[in-house]
Amino acid sequence: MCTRLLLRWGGFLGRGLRSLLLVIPLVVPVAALVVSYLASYVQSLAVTPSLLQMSASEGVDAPAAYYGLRQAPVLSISPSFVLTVVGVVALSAGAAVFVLTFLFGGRFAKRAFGVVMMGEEDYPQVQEEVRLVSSRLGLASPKVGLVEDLRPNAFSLGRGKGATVVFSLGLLNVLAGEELEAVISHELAHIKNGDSTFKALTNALVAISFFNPLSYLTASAAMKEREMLADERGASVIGTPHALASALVKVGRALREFPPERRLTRLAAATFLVSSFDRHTSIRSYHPSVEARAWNLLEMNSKSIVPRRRVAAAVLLSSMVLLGGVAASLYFVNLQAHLLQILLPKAPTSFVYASQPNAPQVGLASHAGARFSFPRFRPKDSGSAKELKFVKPGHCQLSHPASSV
Amino acid sequence: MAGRRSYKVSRYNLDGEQFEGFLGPLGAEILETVWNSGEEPVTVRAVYEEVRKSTKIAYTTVMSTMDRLYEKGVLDRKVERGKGGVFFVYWPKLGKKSFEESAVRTVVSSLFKNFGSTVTNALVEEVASNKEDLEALQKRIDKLASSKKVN
Repeated sequence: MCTRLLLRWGGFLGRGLRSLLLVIPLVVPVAALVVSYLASYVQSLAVTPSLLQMSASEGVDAPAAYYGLRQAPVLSISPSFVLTVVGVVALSAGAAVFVLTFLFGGRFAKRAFGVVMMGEEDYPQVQEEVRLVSSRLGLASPKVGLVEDLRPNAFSLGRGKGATVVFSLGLLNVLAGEELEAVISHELAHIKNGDSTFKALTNALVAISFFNPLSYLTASAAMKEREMLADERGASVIGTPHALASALVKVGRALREFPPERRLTRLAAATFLVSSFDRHTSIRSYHPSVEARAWNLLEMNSKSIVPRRRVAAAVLLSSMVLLGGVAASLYFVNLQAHLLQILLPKAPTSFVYASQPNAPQVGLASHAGARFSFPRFRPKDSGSAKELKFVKPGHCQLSHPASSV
Repeated sequence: MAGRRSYKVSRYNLDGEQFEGFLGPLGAEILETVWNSGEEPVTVRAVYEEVRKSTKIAYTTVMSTMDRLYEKGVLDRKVERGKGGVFFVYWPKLGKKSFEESAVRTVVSSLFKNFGSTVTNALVEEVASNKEDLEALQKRIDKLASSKKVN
């Protein structure tokens, strides 16, 4: 029953919506980081200089500044500090991936795959067909490129004015007529759907959620949905779903005659190209199998109006998928934090501020055991005290120099 | 990669300069580009990028010309798996000098076969117009004659 419901999920909700539902949970780590930073910022505003936040990132400076001490070298690393570093690294990686794929992806892919832009004399019928289908989709006609790959392949790059559809020599040799028109409409549907941007965002979110194994699967499931969406949209524009199904089967057969592409080529295709045919379809690939796509296209015309009860079931199932995804993301964020705590050394850690002869000293116990609670220490007598003393892990008190730690 | 094989000329255009007479202007330019590219086989795209520096040309024109040169036996090719996919790479079957000798010999042999002494007279008169060429021809004839006597 559940399996059937899951399989029929596709029939009830739009594929665009489902691809979004699959990607939304990947935003959780970003949201968690932002919320945690905001919370700590608000906390720091609300508290007077009471030496809160003794994580190594900021706790070192706060007491030193407050008591007019000189800063000593940091001798320990707290989990919250490591979490912050990991968060910053993950966010930076995500931002780098986004910039690389969104801003420079098109240029990089053109160079990496040796795309030659078609001149007026190159395949004029193909270029004319691109213009016709573009106008039907309400798109500005994109540039048309060519790669000398003998394997049948087609993909789209970029967005807006920089959008480019690229065909391989192999594809132009294998397909003609309405099959070629169907592939053209599929590629243009990718541009219309903004899949280049969607892919760049998904890749960035996956980079941020690198610790979450489910993120790779949901990202690939989302990209498969986008692929099916482009199939459906492209086929509906030209009104011949069977032509695209036939083209897909033909391409799938032709691909089997060629040796598999190099790993680097596959990686570059998976990162930068939208809709490039993948010889190996798996749970982690960004392409559904040819068979699944062909069946989906052939069933397009037979899809009837869905009863309300089923729509309600689909909405419920979608909510469950969304909540499950968010819960899984949160679980992996917590798991990552927990693992960091286990991995960090538990030895007593302390850092001392005392370099002037009569300067007070500050000792801080290890708070490696503290989980998600920022260790804090407060002076017992902040008015006249000259020195802080270790009291218990994560806490200090003020005392005389003779009894300092 | 250029082997010691011969090139059989199917037609010769009197208006063409150098190899253009045998291969046409674009064919000759493409063959020159392939020779200049060194030992490594080249892709159509690499040749296209080079040729378009001097001439406005379509990629497919270069592709079909290289395909024609392959059919004629001027270029050889194989399928190679590389950066960005699987594609043809081309290399010349003959080096520049070998190609020249082979092509000219084929044309002269054909002329001799059809016109015999007329061709000899024409060649001698052509050579005689230049003193140095005439001396070189005399030496060549003497050398060939002496080697015949020894044999």
